[in-house]
Amino acid sequence: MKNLLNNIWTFIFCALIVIPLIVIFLLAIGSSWNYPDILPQQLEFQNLIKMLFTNSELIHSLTQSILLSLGTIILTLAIAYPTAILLAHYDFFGKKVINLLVYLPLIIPSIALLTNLDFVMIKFSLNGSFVGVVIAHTLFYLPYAIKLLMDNFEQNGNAFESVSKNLGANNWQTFWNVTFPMSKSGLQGAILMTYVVSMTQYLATLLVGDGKFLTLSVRMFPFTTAGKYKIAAIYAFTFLIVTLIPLFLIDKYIIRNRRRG
Amino acid sequence: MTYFLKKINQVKKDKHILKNIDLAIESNSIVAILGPSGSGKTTLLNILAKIDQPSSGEFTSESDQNPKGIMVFQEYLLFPHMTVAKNITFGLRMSKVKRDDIKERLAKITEVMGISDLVDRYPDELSGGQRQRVALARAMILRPKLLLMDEPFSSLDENLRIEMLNFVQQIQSQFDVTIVFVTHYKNEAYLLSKRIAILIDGSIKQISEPEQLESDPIDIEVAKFLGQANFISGKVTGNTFDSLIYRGEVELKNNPQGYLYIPYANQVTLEKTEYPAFFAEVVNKVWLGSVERVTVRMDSVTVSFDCRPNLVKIGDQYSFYFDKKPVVY
Repeated sequence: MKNLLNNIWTFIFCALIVIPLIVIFLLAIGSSWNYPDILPQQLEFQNLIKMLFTNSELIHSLTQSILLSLGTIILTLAIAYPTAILLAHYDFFGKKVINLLVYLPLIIPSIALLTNLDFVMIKFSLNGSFVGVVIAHTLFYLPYAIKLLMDNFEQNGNAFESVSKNLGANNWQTFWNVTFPMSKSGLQGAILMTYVVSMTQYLATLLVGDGKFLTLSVRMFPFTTAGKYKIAAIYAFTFLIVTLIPLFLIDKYIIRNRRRG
Repeated sequence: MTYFLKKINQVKKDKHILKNIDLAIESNSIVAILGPSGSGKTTLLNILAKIDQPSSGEFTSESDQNPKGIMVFQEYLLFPHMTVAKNITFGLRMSKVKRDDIKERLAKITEVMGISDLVDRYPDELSGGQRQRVALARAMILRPKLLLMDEPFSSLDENLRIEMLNFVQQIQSQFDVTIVFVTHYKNEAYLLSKRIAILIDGSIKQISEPEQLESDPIDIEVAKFLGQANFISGKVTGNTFDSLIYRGEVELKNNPQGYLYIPYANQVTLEKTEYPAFFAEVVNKVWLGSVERVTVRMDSVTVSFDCRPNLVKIGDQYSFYFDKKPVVY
């Protein structure tokens, strides 16, 4: 029975994740792959590698994707970190309302939110600007980041801060020596999640960015709909690499430093 | 130097947690604050540690208007991301003490605490007893005049608890430090301290030595909290008490509610005294080392108390006496 279940899970995992990944990889490196061939006629690794390093459109998209993600991470954390501390450790009038407001971007349909946000951006002349797109991205990831950080703060409690102050540390010393290092795992989760989701964001980038920010996902989408699978696969492959590398590094970093918060 | 708690009150969210706490704590002594869970013990300790401010009242000492105790927390709360050495030296580092001094004091305190070989470990690599010593070292390295301990032995097993109780006594005399510790285990309080304050529902009900507490609790609340006693209900008329097992003269406490107090220890005896208690059959006895806990029955009432081993036999009937005039709460 256990073996059967294992086999079913393996089959589902292969069907939904491994096989599509192999297909994307073969599409990216293969040429002349036509029906009814099971595999491409030719494999051109060199072409893929050359494109990754020399194709100016791809490099430009990659740079814009990473810059927008980094900007989003900075703004998200700047808002989410103090908000999470406030919601996790303090009792105040209206706390429940704020808790609910945090989740509003998830409750309201994204298209309704984005069209209205676009109006606001136009009003403040932020449409088509880097800051405008970063703000639009941030709005969508704030609930996740706040939740991740809040869970982390709630799990740690504020007793360690009390210990620190009792031992003679002031507020800043307590923050830098206790609160911050102990929130590292929540922080790493929030950074990773914001990075990955910001990289995948399509609609907000296109709408608020007025089409000026051709990120990997923005470029990839028309290729996919137009049936240009090879170039779409190359973008998808690039996308996977730039998403998986930080994921791998952060995961390894968390495991290596499991004690450090 | 004596520490004074004057009319300390703590009100939070309309809940009166501490009510008019008055307490004087002599220097170089160990004072235990004993009370049930939720009685306000930790709140009181937090005020002494300046982690919390009282709603009213003040905490002062003869030489310092704003004294602050250093706390050893209930679950030790060692910083999980720091080594033992970093944990212990935290307070000194935050106070910008010179690196050489820190090194010297770390070596000294870890030697006293017997944890010199643990300095490079992380808290999750330590046993309960080791964590306790590290937490104690982290506080003692600051050379506090007032050390506060919040249920410090609650998560240790029995043997380790006794070992640590002795160790804390040694530390107290070695460093001439005043210790205030809170617990809900009366044996822990009796073992460590000669002066015990009973805190129930936010009020200090009684401050006494262990023996006096056991023999003469101030009211039924304290008596019931201390446990290890029988409470027999009956009727009070003048100085006389009338119940199913005893009828006779009693000592009445303030506002008696009609409960005869028979503690397990040092109250009931087989030796004839001027206070005859009851004639009853022994129905059970349990060996407790130096004494036997005997259970007797008359009619439908059972009473338990401690006797010398092998003094009575199960199934036999005896006349029992009170050691002194019984008390009714």
